[in-house]
Amino acid sequence: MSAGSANAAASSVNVSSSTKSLRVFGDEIWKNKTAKINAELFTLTYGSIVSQLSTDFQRNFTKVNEKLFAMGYNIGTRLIEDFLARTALPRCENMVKTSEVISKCAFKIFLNITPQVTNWANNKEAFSLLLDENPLSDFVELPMDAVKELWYSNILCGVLKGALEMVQLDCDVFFVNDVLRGDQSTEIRIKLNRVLKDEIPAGED
Amino acid sequence: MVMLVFAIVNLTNFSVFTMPLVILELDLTGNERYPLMSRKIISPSTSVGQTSVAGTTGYDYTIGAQKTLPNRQQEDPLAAALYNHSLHPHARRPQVSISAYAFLFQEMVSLAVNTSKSVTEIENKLHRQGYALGPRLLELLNFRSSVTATSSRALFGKSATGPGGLGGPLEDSLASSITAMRRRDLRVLEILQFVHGPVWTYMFGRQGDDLVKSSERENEYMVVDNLPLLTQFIGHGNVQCDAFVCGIVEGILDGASFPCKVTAHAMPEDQHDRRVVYLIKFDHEVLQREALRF
Repeated sequence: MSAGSANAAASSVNVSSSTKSLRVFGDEIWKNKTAKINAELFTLTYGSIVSQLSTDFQRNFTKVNEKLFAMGYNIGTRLIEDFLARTALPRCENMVKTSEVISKCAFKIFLNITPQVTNWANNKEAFSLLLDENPLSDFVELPMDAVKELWYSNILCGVLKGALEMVQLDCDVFFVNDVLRGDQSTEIRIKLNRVLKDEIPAGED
Repeated sequence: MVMLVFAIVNLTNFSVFTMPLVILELDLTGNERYPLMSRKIISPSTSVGQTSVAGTTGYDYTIGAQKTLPNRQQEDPLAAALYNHSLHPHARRPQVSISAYAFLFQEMVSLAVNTSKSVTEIENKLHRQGYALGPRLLELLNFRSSVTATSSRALFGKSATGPGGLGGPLEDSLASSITAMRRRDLRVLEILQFVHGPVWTYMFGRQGDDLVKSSERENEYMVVDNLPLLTQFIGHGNVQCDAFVCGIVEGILDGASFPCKVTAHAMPEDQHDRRVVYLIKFDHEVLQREALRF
């Protein structure tokens, strides 16, 4: 992990010029092209969804995690459309670029946060997003029975998974740490499995 | 003293068998013999200084009132961050994108749709989820409305010199800028204006478009919204997704002791084809109370 972060530092030098412009680009879209809504209402609404799920599944938090992921996946497959329409960004040539776009544009445009990209794997195909702040989990304190099992913001993983899959990147996305569970940071791991081929769906020839 | 005993009963879940004992003590306190004074009282105002004033009982008049600070070593870091974070709206991230909200809202609706058998059940689910937000918002917004113009100017004069809203936790604390809490809304009209004004502004960034009293029925009022923000991307259908907002409003009114039922009705008009009317039906007791002179 620590070796990975050294790599990330080296790579960020290479892409520093594009990184900067991406940041400005994301800020620009957020400021001028985005309709906004109260973040606390967003937080509270998500809270009521999670608590509803906890009740529905009789506090089986493994199932709640899965359901949140599935909901996120549904969102992600449609959110990518919105994202591309808004940004008109071209295809990313590698995962480093992808990570920058995710953190500086996608998170900025939708949630108004910019997570740090760190912990690169040696082959540059897996990285972590560190969320210093998380609009989903403001005000939240997990009850005793949920602390060990529930990934409160698991919907984010689903969104990332769904959105990346729609741009032909088959990834594993999962939470490694969450401050709600008493960890030092909130960390989402994204690991590229393979690049999917553009294929015509069966029966469409 | 009596209050203190009650607090102990509540906190420690005394079993039924110990109850007579407690009642006995209550009787004694009534006799002005203060039996509790001989024991050590854990008083919130002196609990920190306990080591220095060991053996004393509660408030020490020779020292006077003491300022207490939370014991930071014992706090769990998350809880500390959570409870020390300012509630001031300007100290927080103000906004997220509306499409992020719309996606989330859509998932909430489809969750309700997939787990329900009828339209009523769907609306009830959304209503219930909104209702949970009501009491929380009531308290938060009341608190924020209590900040007077002068105190908030003082607050921002200070934070303008510091780095954004992340200065000292004490300086940015919302409570420190409140000198007196806003008076609780007692009249139907007052609480309705609170919903129509601050609540609507908080949720949707603007006031409600109209506040109407029914001419036919005494207990019915209507808040009109020409362009509902949350459901703007949802097509016209037989499910009224504004039930979520109904739930929030009902939660707020119930929390403020104005029990009522709130329902949403789509009533398109010439210019506003998405216009929604939130019908608020107060319970009978509210009108009875309203008729009292005080």
